[in-house]
Amino acid sequence: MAELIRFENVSKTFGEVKANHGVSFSIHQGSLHGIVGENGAGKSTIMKILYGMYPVDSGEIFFQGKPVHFKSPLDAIQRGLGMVHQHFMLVPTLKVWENIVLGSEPEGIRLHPSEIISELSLLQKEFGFNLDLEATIEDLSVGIQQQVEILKLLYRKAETLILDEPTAVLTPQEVDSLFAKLKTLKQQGKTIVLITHKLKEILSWTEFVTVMRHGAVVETVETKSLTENSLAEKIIGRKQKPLPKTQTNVSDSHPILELKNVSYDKLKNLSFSVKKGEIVGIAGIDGNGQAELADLLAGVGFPESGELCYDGKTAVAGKTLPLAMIPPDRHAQAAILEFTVEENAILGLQRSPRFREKVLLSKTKISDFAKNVMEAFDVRPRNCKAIFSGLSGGNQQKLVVGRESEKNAACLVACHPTRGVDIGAIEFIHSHLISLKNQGKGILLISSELDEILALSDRVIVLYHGSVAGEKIASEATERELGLWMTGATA
Amino acid sequence: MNRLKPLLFPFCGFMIALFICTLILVAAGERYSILLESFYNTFFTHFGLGYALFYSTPLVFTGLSVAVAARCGLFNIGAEGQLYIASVALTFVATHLLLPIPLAIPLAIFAAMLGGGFWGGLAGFLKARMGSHEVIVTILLNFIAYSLTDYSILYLFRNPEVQNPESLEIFQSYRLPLLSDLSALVGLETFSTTPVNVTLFFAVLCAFLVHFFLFSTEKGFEVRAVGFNPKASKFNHISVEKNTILAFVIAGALTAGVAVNEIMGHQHKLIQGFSVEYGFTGIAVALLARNNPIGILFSAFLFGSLHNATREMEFMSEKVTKELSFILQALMIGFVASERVISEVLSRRGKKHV
Repeated sequence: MAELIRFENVSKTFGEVKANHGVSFSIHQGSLHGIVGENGAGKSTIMKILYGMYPVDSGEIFFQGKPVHFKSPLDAIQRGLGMVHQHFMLVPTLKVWENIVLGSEPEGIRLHPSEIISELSLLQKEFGFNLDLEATIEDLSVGIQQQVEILKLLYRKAETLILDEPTAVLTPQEVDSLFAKLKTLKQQGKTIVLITHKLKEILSWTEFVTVMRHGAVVETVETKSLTENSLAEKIIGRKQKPLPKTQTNVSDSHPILELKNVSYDKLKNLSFSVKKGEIVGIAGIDGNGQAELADLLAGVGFPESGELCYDGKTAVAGKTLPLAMIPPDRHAQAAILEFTVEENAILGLQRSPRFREKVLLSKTKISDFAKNVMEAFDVRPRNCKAIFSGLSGGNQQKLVVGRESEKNAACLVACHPTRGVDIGAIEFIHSHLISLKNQGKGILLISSELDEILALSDRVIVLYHGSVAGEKIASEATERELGLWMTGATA
Repeated sequence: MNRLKPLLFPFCGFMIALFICTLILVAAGERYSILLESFYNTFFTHFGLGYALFYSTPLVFTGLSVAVAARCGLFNIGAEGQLYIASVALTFVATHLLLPIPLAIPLAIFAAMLGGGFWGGLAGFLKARMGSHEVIVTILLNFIAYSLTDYSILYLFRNPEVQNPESLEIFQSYRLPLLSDLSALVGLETFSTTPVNVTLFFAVLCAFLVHFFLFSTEKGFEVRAVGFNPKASKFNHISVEKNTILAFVIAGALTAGVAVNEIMGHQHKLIQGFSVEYGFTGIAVALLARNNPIGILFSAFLFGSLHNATREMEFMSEKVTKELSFILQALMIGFVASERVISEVLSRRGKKHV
């Protein structure tokens, strides 16, 4: 296969952060090339440089053998490159065909919708798409919107497609159909570059993979030569730690959290309990009541009927339960992005007397506390005055986990604790949950990652349409059985 | 040098604005030096500086009022109404209760804060409990406040001896000393006959108090948390309703300073329509200072001194009309506020050279 793109010693610095240094690798014509690495490893940056969104500081990029410097994405598009960003760039109120031609409308003063639509229909046929061109974007699912983005690039005659974390927002079914589509595109001669941090996708779909760490390339290899473990090791730069051993002597302890026939919003007659020293996993496809369960336990909502008990006492409306919680949505619920790291470290703890100097909040006590949490939970960079939104997802989440652990509550509700978080942080958070369990805390783990639930939980409960579809001891559960419950089959 | 940098850009903007305003004035047939003369008078004469500070004082209070609400994610357009209710409460106390000074002054200030705080709290309550949008609520409450003030002046404590609609004079013990009187006590002659009074010190004190409240107390922390992210606040057991009401009560109570400055410090009576839109100018003051309480001291002084400088020009020349003076003020503020544009242009230049 001929070489299409070659990076030679490309470096890029933002302020004091070295986003890329000395990056060199090649992408072959007509291949499916994966770029993998933890959050902040520089994967997106190197592709944005190629795409003309950032200028290089030093180094060269060769395209079809000639050195190039795209000044803007428009430049890159004209040379046959196209990029689908992590956050889609579509106008929600416009129709599909309008979004596709937006920015590269045919010449002339008037648009001729019928001509454009027939042209697009041909294009759809050529590449095997089946989109309703007259539909409005906001009415479409995320998976379909992504197809619109891809068709948009094909309309611009893109020969090379760059996809930045394309599966982050897709359901498993949508992921499959996306990759099927990419495979056909590849067979038609397109080159596809896939930026991701999901190992499974790399291993099952790509031909070549470039592993990046701390802004540099670790190596570029043929995917065939890799296993999940060896790839993970390359990404984090060391062997994965095994999960700590768990101690199970759950049976004799009494429940710390108990729901008795609770109905609230989507939840219907939900009953389950979490004992001390136990991890209970709540599995299920998103949207089956997980968010409502989190609201309920956070005290944002209150049961419409039924009983919510904590430590043997029935919850009263208007009084929040003294449990710790990792909320499902890090940006909207767990933290305040505009606050500094240290302010987020005391969010929810601000009334505690330990941060006070007489009546005022003590800046030094807050900083000391934040520094301790950051040290214990390995939050980087270790700058407690930094604005929270500047941290990577993994570090943000570690801070939230650290803060909630500091509450020292008898029960922790962990909702999607590793969503959008890199491997190193996942490992850290998982072993922390186990160690909390070993300290005798009750943990409710709500997650849509079945692997995570099976690896950590003692018991698994599958939530379907707001009720329990089935319950099983984790060691006896199979993915197939749980998968059936998730789609509505009853136990 | 680095410490001065944040001041450098507004200063550049100010100089550019001076230049452009001078061009406009020359085009209007004025002598080219008139603008500089008026600024000289404002900053370097006792009379000018005294008036500039007097105009700045209420703007500090209304600026802080808008800023506290903004920190909680609320837009307080109601400072104007709140300051009128504060004035009514203050005037009522100060024309009815004959008390000795040590009781009178704190009581009157407290009454004004109560009045303003109540009017602000009303908006907060409606927002928090009924879900009505605070912009609409505060605008409507303004109209009610104007009418209540007029009613009070006409029927509760009208001065029957004058034609104008104004209240009785407040008792002697409620009057605050002017800065010129204070300095006369130590044998200095400052601020000549200007009405700038000790309320100015309260204003500076309030700016620091608000700063401490926002950044060094648990309540201030919660107010800011709600302002940035109500959802995350709820998940961390911070009540959005309570903090909305609290922020509005504080915002309203802060406008009491305007009443104190005007009634206890200067006029010694409540005159119908005394506020020259202090409440609305406060929005601009807070915006320019990006809701930073200490920054508001400077931005209020900018507005106050501009007001004085253009007023001086109106006296000095008949070609400078009220309308023209508004245009000049707007240009000045526009340029000072465009620091981001200026700094961007400069940094782009810098990049090209590298």
